Amino acid sequence: MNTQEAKFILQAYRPGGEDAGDPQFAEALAQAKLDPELAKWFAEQLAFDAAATRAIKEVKAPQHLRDSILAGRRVIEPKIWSRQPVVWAMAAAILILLGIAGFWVKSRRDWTQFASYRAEMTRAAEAHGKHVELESPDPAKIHAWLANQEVDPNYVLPARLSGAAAMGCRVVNWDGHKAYMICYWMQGTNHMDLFVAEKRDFKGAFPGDKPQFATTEGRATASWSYDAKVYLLVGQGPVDEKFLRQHLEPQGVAGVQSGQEWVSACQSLIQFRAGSQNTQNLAGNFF
Amino acid sequence: MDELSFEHLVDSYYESLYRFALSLTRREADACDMTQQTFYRWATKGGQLRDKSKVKSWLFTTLHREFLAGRRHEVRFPHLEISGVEEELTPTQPSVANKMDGDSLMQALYQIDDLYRAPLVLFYLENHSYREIADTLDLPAGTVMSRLSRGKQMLRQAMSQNVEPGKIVPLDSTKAKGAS
Repeated sequence: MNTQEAKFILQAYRPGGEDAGDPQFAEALAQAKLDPELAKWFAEQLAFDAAATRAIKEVKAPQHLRDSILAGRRVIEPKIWSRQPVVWAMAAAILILLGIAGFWVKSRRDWTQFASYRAEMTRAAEAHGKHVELESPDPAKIHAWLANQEVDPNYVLPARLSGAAAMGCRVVNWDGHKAYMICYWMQGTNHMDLFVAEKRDFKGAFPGDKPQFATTEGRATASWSYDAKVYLLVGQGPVDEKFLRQHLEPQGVAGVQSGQEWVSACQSLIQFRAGSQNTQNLAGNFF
Repeated sequence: MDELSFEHLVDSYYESLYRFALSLTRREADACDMTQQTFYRWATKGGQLRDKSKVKSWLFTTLHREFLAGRRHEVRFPHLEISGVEEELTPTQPSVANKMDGDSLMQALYQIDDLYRAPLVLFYLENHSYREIADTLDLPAGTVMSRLSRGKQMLRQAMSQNVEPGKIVPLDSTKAKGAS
């Protein structure tokens, strides 16, 4: 290292001696100890730097600057959103509204599924070439046949429906699940098809224990749920909502009943549905 | 950061930052504004600094960036090697150092190009080492040494001119031309 190089490095040496341990300066410092001319130059440099350090600290900041900075901090502080109760309250309100909106959207989507089921079953009651697969008014036979179809046959009916005459039943597939339909003869040309599905097959909402009435595919329908099952009653012929309401009293449920007197009438009705007989007289005999 | 620690930070650095800003801007109002802006940056973004030992460096770096961002014209920063400054390493006149005060120093500093003034002021402020200056100005350490060396030479020359009795130095006309 020559003298010029040593001077170059020592120009960065702080006058307070803080850089004494920095190896970057070690060689230049050592050379300054050996070279009197360099040592003199270095001493003058340190004196100049020390004077400059003192002098620059004589420059004072304006009196107002410190106060302005601290005041500015207090202006900034309220803008920190996370410390503002009002902001928190607004955020909470927004979250609640989003939750309500999400629940509403979800509910709408879920009801859409049930509505789809209701419409599909209503069409199924109309479109099937053979209305029922098992033609029997005997609840025991219906029960046994349904059990063989790998569906739960333990349905329950509202009290006033329990007196209706079954004509038969069939299994209906919907959305990858099984439901079953039981056809009931009611009065005159009136009959109703009862669809029974499992609650667990519905991903979303379905009616509660109070019947919901709706007109679906031009038919009066009523739907409700009880225990593990969802029921859908579809009126056929002139059956309207008023008629359905009359047969869906809310109090109590009863098991399926049968009567020998219904048997022939129901069998005749089944034949009627095949187009072979007039049911007017049969209905009169039955009710 | 709570109010007390912020106040402590302001008390520790606001004057040094102001001096640095004043040396860069040459105007008291601009220096105050830049100093305040630096602490505003700290109040809003300083929490992101994980190594609290680098607060000083962060503040000076931020102030310098504010200064650079405020300049209209881009400035090139040449990297001077030792060969370019050897002949300028002249001895210091002791009388210059003896007559130095805050005003005369600042007047001399104003005559030096920004390129050399920034590392020089940092060197004299808060005992910034050349490595800290390199971090603050985002420069290689060798470049910092070059600029310190040349800047000191310019400062001595400016001080010598300023201390001549009766000499009036218009700042604009005497501003040293930086290497380009």
